[in-house]
Amino acid sequence: MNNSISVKNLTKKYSHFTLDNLSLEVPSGSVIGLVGANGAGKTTLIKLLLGIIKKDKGNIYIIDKEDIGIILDDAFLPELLKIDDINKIMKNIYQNWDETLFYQYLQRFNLTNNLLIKSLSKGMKKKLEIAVSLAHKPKLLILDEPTSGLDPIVRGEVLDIFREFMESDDHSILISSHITSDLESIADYIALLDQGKLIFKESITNIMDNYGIIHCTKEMFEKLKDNAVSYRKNKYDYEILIKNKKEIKKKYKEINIDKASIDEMMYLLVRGEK
Amino acid sequence: MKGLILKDLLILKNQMRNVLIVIIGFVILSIIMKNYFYIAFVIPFYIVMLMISTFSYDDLNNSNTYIVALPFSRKEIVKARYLLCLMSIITSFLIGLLISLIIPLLNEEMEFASTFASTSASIMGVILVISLLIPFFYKFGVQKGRVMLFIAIMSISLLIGIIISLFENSKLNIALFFNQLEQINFIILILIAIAIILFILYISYLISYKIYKNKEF
Repeated sequence: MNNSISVKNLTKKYSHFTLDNLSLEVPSGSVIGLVGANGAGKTTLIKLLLGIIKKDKGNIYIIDKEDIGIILDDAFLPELLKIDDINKIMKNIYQNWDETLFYQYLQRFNLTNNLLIKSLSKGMKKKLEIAVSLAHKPKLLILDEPTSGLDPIVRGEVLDIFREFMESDDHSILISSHITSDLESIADYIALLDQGKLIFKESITNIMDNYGIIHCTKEMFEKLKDNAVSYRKNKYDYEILIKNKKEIKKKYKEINIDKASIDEMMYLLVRGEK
Repeated sequence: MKGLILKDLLILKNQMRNVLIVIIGFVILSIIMKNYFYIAFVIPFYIVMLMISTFSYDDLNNSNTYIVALPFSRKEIVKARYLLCLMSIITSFLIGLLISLIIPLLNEEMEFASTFASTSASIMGVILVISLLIPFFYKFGVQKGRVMLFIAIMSISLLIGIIISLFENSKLNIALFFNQLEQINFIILILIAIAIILFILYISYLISYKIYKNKEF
């Protein structure tokens, strides 16, 4: 399988933060969800991929920029432009820019008036950015917080569009988001960054099938300790992240294993002990 | 690259109403004051202001970051800015020419040659300012760049002041030097001036590219 993105031992040093020796692949046909706390390095990684900042060490392979659609967190064309202006500009930037497709997306988003970007609401602006990111028929989408600040209805619409995008076999998405429920519904893999390091990467199917969270007493914890991917001692109980749900279910029939949500997993992997 | 130039032009177009109001204001003012040189100086100056504003729009909307992520080389991005500058310089020359043709019709005391010469001189001055400004903007951003430019101009003036006073002390006559210049053919002088100024603009472009090449957003 070809990769849309392949990163090896990527390092970027800042005085206060280092993206450390990171390796990650985005195979064509897959959606990678990038998660992590604020300042974990998600945006730094995306900026490195797009050449907005320069790497210190490592290798980056990424497909041609002509074939990439981007949505950046809080960066777009100047807001003193109108919607039609964006079309004129992009037509002269992307070789594959499809004017009809652009206006189709806008129609779908109910953005039919030629307004100044400045006068658009946050959600409308995001929709415009999404239309722009798709109208040159990219093969890869790099999305930094594409759904932040959007209400659940619009978020649903936007996720539908990304799902449609993924109907082609050779398309892929790298998406960073704090809204992990969105990722659960769209991503194939979850990659967790913590303090500039990739500490976890797993397919959603594997997470759903094999990962689980157990809340238990100290005695039970001692028995399960060897199975823990990560655990945390709370005031009244222990919280354990496991990745062999079926096995444990068989062995300890009385145990209640919860579904591992990305939020809880993140919390345990970042803050828990091992 | 065309897309980038278009972006700046379209922003200016959307601001066109404001631009026109200001220009009409200048024209009315100079008619009332019966000072036609005023337009000749103000219009090129105003065009520089417009150039500066395209920089600040990019700063405000974080669009620097977005543009760098689009399929352009950094060289193209800098080149587009300088091409836009060249276009605005040519436009102001044409406007200057037009003004120099109209003014003698309004006022018999004025003649084409002197009006056009003073307009051209002010445009050349403007190009010098642009050549200085843009690298500073690329290095420091618009807000900080203005302050840094101010400091730079102050230091340069100080330096020139010191050099001139050294010359005066050594009893060399600068006025004599300029008088001798006048004797050279007027047209040759203008051509030399244009060549020097375009060369300065080119150097400015090279410096800007060097700064921008490794800039991070």
